Amino acid sequence: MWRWVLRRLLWAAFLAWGVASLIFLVINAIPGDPVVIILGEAGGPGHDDAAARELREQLGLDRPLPIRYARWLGGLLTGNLGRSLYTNVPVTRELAEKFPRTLYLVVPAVVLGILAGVPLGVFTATRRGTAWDGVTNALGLLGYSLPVYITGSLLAYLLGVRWRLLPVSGYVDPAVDPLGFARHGLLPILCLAGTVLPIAMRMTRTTMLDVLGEDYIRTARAKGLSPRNVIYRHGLRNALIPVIVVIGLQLGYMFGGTVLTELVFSWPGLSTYLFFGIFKRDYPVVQGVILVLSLIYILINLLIDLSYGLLDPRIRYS
Amino acid sequence: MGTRRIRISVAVILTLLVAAALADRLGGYPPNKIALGRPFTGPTTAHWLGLDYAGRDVLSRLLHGGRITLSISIASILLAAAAGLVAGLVAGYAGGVADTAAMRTADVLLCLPPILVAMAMVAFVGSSAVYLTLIISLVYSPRFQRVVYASVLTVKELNYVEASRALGAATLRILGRQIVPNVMGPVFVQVSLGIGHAILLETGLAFVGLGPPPPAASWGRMVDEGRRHMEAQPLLLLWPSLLIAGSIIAFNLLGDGLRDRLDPKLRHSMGSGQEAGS
Repeated sequence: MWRWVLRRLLWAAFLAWGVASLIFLVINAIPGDPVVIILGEAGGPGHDDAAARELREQLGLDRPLPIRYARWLGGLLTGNLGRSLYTNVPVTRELAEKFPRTLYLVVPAVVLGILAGVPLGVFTATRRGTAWDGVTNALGLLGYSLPVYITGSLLAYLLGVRWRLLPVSGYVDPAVDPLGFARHGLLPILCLAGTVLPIAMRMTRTTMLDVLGEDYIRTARAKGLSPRNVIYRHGLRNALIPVIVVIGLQLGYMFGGTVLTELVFSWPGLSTYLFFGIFKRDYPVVQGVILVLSLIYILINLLIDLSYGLLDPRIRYS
Repeated sequence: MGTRRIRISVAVILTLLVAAALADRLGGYPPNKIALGRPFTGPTTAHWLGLDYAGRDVLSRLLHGGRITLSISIASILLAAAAGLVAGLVAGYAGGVADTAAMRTADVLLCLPPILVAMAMVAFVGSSAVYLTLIISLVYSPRFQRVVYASVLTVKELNYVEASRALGAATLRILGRQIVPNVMGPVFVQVSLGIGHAILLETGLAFVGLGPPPPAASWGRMVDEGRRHMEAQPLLLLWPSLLIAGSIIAFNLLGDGLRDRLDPKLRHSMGSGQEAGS
């Protein structure tokens, strides 16, 4: 048991190391000199050789690659991701400010998606082969296929421009103005929830159909339980674990996948921060945010693995 | 009813491909010619889908944009499938060091957020069609590698593979004659679903300004332009959205249909409910 937990932990640590090294390598392989980014081209105004040399030393860029790699890993262990080339603000401080904003979108979206998707999945599973099943399947396919930036733009047009019900962009701090936060957050949250819903629905439907074919369901029916009782108490309860696993995995992707939603609604979260970092070639920001998002993904996967293994002993020994 | 879904989606995909291939003839106007009429004109007999903010013919631009989006998406996924197939075959069949190296690399790559990595790479190396194709294929090849790897592990233990190994067949012959044909089913399914994803990714990149450089027509950028001018002419937002959504739906539908067709075991647990009734 503990050996299995230790193995999972070591595996996660390996992935984290792999991701950190890969990001370091790729960023260093890309042409582009941070010193030129800060001071401008050599020979141009603002670029003077002495200052450039000093800056190069200060950024540690005069050292050979292996030393820089060791420093990068060492920095990570102490929670130091470097400073932005433009604002000179530590990347970790910016991350601490932006991360909750992305969390405010992702968590309500996942909760909403589950609350709507799971009952719909049960509904279609119990009406297999009827017209209802076809309708919800078609809706699921639609929700699964529509890109968020399209649903986002269309919702913004209808609710924001046409009917003037909600603001179409911007962010308000929930601590300052909770209502304003909710009004600004509603559209992006709905868009993201729309990506979770079809996944929750499909997965619930699939596992429900499996579970409803099991012997213990037949027994429950035979002993005269009401269909409602059979479906919810005996069926859904057993069908829910795989659904939660799939949604959990989705959650890992979502932190990195909110970028289009954030950009459509000008929501200043993690992805927007990264996006502007990319355009300004702010390398410490780019590597810092991608690393943190990958680590979140690894962590969520680890937690799912561990909890799944604790719940189901068969996993541990396979 | 896997068959009906496959037929419908293949019909839609072929229509899209033919329309994109014949973009010059069908559109009737050069896609980048500005000031064909008053900007934001709605649909007319001369311009079936109207004119955009610069007075360009929307239909012609959509057809030409489709050419770019569809060719990038299809080419990148075929490339990713080929790379993933080779890596998955080597890892799965050879085992040992090759297995460990290839699969652990794929595991690390799969931890990275795909859209953001694609964005960063496109921004740093450039957004020409060739780079977009290579970058999207790079993001997707580990997924194919996993699918192939998993199938190879099952297939290589089957009796007939062991029989030909016992008869002394060469490794390449076993791979080509027995392993590859048997792992292609899941690969076809993934190719179809993958093209849907690639369209989503390519148009998403174009939407944020990382698509083929202007003035080239591009579906993703047309959605962005439509969004900026939605007060003046909301239809400009609608047309590219419909095409993007329609083509992604078609490829997803094809993938679902193929999965049901190729894997009869799944038909009862995963397939759409329509088949029980009809």
